[in-house]
Formats: sequence, structure tokens, C-alpha cells
Amino acid sequence: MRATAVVAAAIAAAAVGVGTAGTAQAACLAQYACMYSNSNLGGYKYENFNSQANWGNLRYAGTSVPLWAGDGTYNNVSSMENKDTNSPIAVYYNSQYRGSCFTIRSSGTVLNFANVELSGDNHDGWVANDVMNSHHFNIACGTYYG
Amino acid sequence: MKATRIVLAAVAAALVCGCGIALSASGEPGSGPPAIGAVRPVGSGADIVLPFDAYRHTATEINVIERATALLARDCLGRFGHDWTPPTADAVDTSRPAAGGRYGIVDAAEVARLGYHAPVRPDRPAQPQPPLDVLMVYTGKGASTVGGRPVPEGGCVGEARRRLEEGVPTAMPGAAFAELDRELYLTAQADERVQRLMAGWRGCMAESGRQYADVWAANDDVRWSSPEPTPEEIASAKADLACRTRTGLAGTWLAVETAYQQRAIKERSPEFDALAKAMQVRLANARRVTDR
Repeated sequence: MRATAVVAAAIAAAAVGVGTAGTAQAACLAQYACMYSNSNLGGYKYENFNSQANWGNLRYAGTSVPLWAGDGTYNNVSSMENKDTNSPIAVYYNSQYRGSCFTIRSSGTVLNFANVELSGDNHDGWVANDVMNSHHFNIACGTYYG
Repeated sequence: MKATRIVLAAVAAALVCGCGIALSASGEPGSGPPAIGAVRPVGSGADIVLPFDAYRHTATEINVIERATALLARDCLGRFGHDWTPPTADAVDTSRPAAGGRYGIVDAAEVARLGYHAPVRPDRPAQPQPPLDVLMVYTGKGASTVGGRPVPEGGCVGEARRRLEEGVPTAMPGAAFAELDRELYLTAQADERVQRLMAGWRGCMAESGRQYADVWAANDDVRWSSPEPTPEEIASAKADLACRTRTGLAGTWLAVETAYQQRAIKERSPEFDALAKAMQVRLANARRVTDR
């Protein structure tokens, strides 16, 4: 169902002429965190060196599209790269580094946030696009992987 | 609002599949909400300690593992003629409670000063960027052969991590553990004992004219996203924390989630035993590298 949702998002985005879903991206800069609107590092991209307390305030590069725009928004973050060779990144489900969390190890990648979410078709699609809202370097919180 | 919707989604999904939301190891219904132990006060992030924490590496241990990874990667890079100096800084800040914000605001002194804003800590200093040809071999993202030598799968960091996993017994994958953790977190939040107090919190907040569906709606209010906390934000956060204290929300929430996690550990004891063993072996492998 997640794949269906991603495809649906791509189709929906293409229909309004703004989508880049599934297109190749320039490499994420060394030491940066890069967040993508689709799984597998596809779609829109945001990259930054610093921790960010509120993804709703951030916009994907070259767009006015926020990284978090409310429940069920397809363009919310679905995959993420940590290009820091030393620091892990704790990713939180709420702003200001609160709520439950997981950690992406240094030089780690999570290709699909759906894989760290509730399982089952009833949750895929919108939950994966919903809950992430802040991230912090140099913190390990919850399960550590990537 | 979003946390509320997630909980509602979990409940709705449970109703659709008829399998309940107190998930057990097999996904079959649990035996009802577990009894909770003593309710401890939660006045700071350090008070939030959960049973699953014992099955994750501590920040100090992660620093040992990351250091060992870097040293092994350095050795690997040396084979390719690269002289790379691993970072000396700790990978993880050990002074900060990892899950301090799990239930939202808890610290009165922080709230009085910052409202809902998290304490600002200096971000890591930028380090000299490794030359890109070094980074390519380090990460394995690029040419498959360099100087006639095959680049290890996942690069030198991939090789280093495989070395540290040698002898580590197969255990619950990180993604599965994260999923279980998330499921039980949401289950605890949806638990009637927590929801009853959440309703009390809502009523308490309403007494001061603040209408929020749950604590996350207050935490994530977009009005609090200014660079600095406003007086209104601080007043709201103070009222929020006072209502949490009056209802005993955080302490009960912690007790309920503790009970669900304890039950999961008991029901899945072979898997958790394997996790504990895996942690021991991985850490021993890492210490052999850092102590050499």
C-alpha cells in the first residue's frame, strides 16, 4: 500500500505540474541531513547542516512546499539521509525534539519512513507522511539504525 | 492534532481488523491492558526510563561503537592509499536524556524560561569535509573499484560495521524493534487510563480558555514556531504543565507504557534475550578495536 501511495503521490503531483517524484537528486552534501518527500530519496529535497526543531517551518529546495504540512500530506518527509560521518541524527515525531523517536546512524539512510512506522495497510501512506517533525544531530534516541 | 489522529487511526485499524490494539508478539490480542506498577512523578527528562532502554545501547556505548567504526574505516581507507583521520568528537551527547521529551514538556524550569521551545544546545561544530574521493570509498557510493581494488560493499564504513557485527547473534532487526516501540507507545497513549487523564488535562486547559485535543496539539501549535518563545507561549506552556501535574498525566503515561513494554519483553523473551546478547558481543567487538 505504501508503494501505491507513493505512486499515487507521483501521479497527483505530476497532474498539477510540480512533481519531481522519483527523479534523480543531486547528492546530499557531506555532513548534512537530507530529507525527501518520497521514499527511496525521491521527490522534493531539503538539506541542511543543523538540527531543526520544527519541520513545518522548512521548505523543500526551490519550492514553497513545507516538510510537514499537516496530517496525511503526501509531500511530508518519507526518507532521509545522514551524511555526517560521525554524528547520528535523532528524528522525532513532534516538534521541539519531543514525542517518540528513532535514530539514523552516521552515514546512514532510511529509505522509507513507513518501515519505522506502524505496520499494516491501514497505516501506510499517510502515517508515514505524517509524524516526523524535528531532528537533532549528536543525539541517540529510540532504536538506532539506518 | 496529529497525535490524536494517529491514536484514532490505531484504534480504527484495530476495529477494522478486529485484532485489538494491545499488540502481542504474534499480533494476536493481548490479555487486556496490563496492570501498572507504582506511578512515579516525572519532573524532568531524566525521570523517563523505560524497560526497552535496557535493550538499546546507551549513548556512551554508541560512542565506543562509533569510535571503533571510525578506526576500522580508517584502516580500510589506508588500503586505498587514503590517510584519513577519524573525528575525535563524541558522536552522541551523553549529557542529555535521550527520551526526555517522550511525553512532551515535563521540566518546570525549562517551561518557565522557554515555553514549548526545546533548550538550545550548540550544534556540532563543522568539521573539515573529507575529500570527496575519500568520501566515495568511505561510503561506497561511487566507483566499485579504486586503484585496482574492489571497494567493499557499503564502502569502508560498511566493512567496518560488518566487522563489528562478527559473532553477533541474529536478533530483532532495528526496524522491527522501532516498530514495536512505536506500537506500544501509541497503545499506551490510547490506553483508557491515559486517555482519562488526557480528558482531565483537556478540561483543565479549557478552564484557562485553551482548547486543545491533546498535549501534542499544544506542543505543535504553529504559533510557537517563532525563533524565541513569546509571553503567550510561555503562559500556555505553564498552564499545560500545571494541568499535567494536576492530573498526574506524565507519571501515569510512563507507568502504562512501562507495563506494556514489560509485557512485550516477557512475551518475547527469546527475542529480547538475543538483543541483549547481541549488544554484549557488539560492544565487546568495539572495545577490542578501541583498546588495541
